[in-house]
Amino acid sequence: MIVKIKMPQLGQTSDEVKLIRWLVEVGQEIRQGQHICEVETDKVTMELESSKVGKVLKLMFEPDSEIRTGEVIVIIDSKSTASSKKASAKKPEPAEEKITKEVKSLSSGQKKKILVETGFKKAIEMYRSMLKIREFEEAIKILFLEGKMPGTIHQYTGMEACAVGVCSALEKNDVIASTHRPHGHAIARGLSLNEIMAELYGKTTGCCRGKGGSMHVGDLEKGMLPAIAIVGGNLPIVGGMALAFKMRGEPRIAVSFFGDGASNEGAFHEALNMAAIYNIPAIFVCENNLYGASTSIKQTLKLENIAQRVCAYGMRGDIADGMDVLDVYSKAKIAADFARQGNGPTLFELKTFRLCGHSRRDPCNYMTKEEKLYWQAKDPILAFEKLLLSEGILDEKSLEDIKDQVKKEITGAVEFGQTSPEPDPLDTYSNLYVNMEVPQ
Amino acid sequence: MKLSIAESLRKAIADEMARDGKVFCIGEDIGIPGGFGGAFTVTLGLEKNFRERMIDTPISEIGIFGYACGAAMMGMRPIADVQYGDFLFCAMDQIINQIAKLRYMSGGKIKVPVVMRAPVGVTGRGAQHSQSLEPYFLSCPGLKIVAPATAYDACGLLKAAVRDDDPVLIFEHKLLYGSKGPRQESGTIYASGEVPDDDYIVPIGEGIIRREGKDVTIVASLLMMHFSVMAASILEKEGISCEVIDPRTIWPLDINLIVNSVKKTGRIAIVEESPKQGGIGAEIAAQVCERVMDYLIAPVTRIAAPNTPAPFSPVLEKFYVPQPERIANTIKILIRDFPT
Repeated sequence: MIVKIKMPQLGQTSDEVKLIRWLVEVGQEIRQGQHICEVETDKVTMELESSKVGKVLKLMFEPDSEIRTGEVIVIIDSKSTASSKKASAKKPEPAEEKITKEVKSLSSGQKKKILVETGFKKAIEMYRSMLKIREFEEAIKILFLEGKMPGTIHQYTGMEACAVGVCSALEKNDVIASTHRPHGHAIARGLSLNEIMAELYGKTTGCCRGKGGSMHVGDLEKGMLPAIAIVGGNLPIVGGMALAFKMRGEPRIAVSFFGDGASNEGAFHEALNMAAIYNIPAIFVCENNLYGASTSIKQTLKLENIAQRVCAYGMRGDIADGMDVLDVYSKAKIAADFARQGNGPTLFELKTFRLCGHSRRDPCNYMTKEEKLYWQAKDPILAFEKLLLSEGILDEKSLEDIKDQVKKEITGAVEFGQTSPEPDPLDTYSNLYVNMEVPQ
Repeated sequence: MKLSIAESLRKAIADEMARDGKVFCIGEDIGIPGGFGGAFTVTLGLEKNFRERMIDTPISEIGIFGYACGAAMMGMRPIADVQYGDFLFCAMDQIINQIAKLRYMSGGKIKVPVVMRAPVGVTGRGAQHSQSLEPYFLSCPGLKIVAPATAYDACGLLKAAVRDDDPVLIFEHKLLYGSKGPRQESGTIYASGEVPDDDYIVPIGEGIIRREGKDVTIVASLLMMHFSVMAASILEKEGISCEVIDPRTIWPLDINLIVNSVKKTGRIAIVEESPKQGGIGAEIAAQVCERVMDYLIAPVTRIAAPNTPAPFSPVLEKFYVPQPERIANTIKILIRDFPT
């Protein structure tokens, strides 16, 4: 069968792209997703993926040609050879392939394409949000070590692209739920640094009026449930929130963040199975940072990917590079659209890493030096910063401005947290019941 | 109209679902056409009028209570249901850590109006389908706990629970349901009664005096309330006058009703179907001693199940559950040993 591949809409501003070079030739067998040519829009250069499988019959343009959206660029024979038939018969379903294979990082062309689709303003906000999380965690780490902050902390350093990528794909009315490691989610969801910091200090100005603390930050009015610090505990709750949206026909989605460790809890199984049955608008975001406290996932899971577990539920699964905010964002958006359009839930695994201890004063002696260095080299903030600079979206000056602003905001939040009023001891008795005093 | 407790609860659920589109039921086998209507027929047939709001679940108790919790926080009014109260333990994280605490942890910004229904009572099924679970939840701040022993209270308390903005656990007794057909229980105690057609609630936190008396106060819920009234009839023939109080709500306890009765009688016996250790009786005894020690002319008495799991053998089971005769004898001895 003869099929035509047309030029898709690439840029937001222009209908025309320039062909730089072909990456395939006539007679070649190509597969779906294979790069067929490199093109240049008014903003970026990128590689174009094939949407079809088959043998190339004709390339319609010469390099340097201007091609308009919708014009046919390649003609292929989709059932050209016996060997391709055989190969396609053996090939697993695309969804299954996606969740069982090793995750590849985005190519620079793919990144540029997502950047364009995202919009530069939003991209800068994503950068700012990641930086805020990093600087917040750095600041409170010192406050804890100095003994100036009560309680305990579980930090998000290194995982910033996960929270920011996913939350950037959500709407105002959506709701997220987090874990004992919630600071990143709270910041990414738009809670103010002041109310988070004050909560860590146990002050009345905190987002939970000092009743929650580090492990329970959140504010439902801002789209974040107070964090659930029992591993796996938020998954069925998120299912219930999504069920409510579905029952009322509201175009909202509910998102659960949890770690690799939670995927071994019974609550994970019950929540996902029910989510699949009821086909609810939810995303279950598994931040796979490879360690449950000090225990490596290699000791607790036989599978390569946690996302493979969707096969047990008949649910959509996807995996992204959790150190790449653009990969996380673009795939979260697909999952969010999928859910919002009534197609059901997704288990979305993010390959990530803690560039910090499990909790305070954890020197991570259970990780190898090589492993730490490998992941440090993938630092999501440095990588995104580099991309924004190389693409000219930020220059050194505007970058410094953002860093200064974030630092100032953190300093202000620390000040706010420290100087806010302490609760009255009798406040212990308030906020338990809606319409009843605590019986004495 | 005269209804059994199962029918009365069904009427309450149907009325509430008709009144408020946010009310829905979630549980195992609750809305299957041709199915059971829950383990004890309470939701039988409700799927005919409320198909979209009868959410049948897999056998997944964590899921049931977690989903109910999430939906409640998003403004729904779920009625979550387990087949046997014993299965609540499968969902303890969701009930104790989440449902009971989320409002408090949020600094009072969240409401979690979940109703949780659970059948209790020793009924020929051995140790894992028999427990009275009130004591386990009594020690968890954030929950309200009710236990209706009559058809009138069943409807009124369930409606009050659905309309309450806090999570409410409702314990129902298998031998009081009056379930009919294949789900009928042997050993059922007749607890049917008049249930008004007009809308009403029984306020949470209000106990009731089932029988007035002057010599001893008996506090008992559910089946034990009925057995205590029977014991009071036995004792009446022997010239002993018992005041029987049905707290109806286990938490918040109507302690004033109990305390005022003790001021009058000077003696108190608490009857419970669960083991004596760490039971409801211990809590009531402590509160009574804290408040009206001076009025007591006899030690506080607890009449409870032995500190063992429920045995299966009918002979052992009968020994295990406080029977009307045992209640009457214990009180007779109490009054003999501590006369006025």
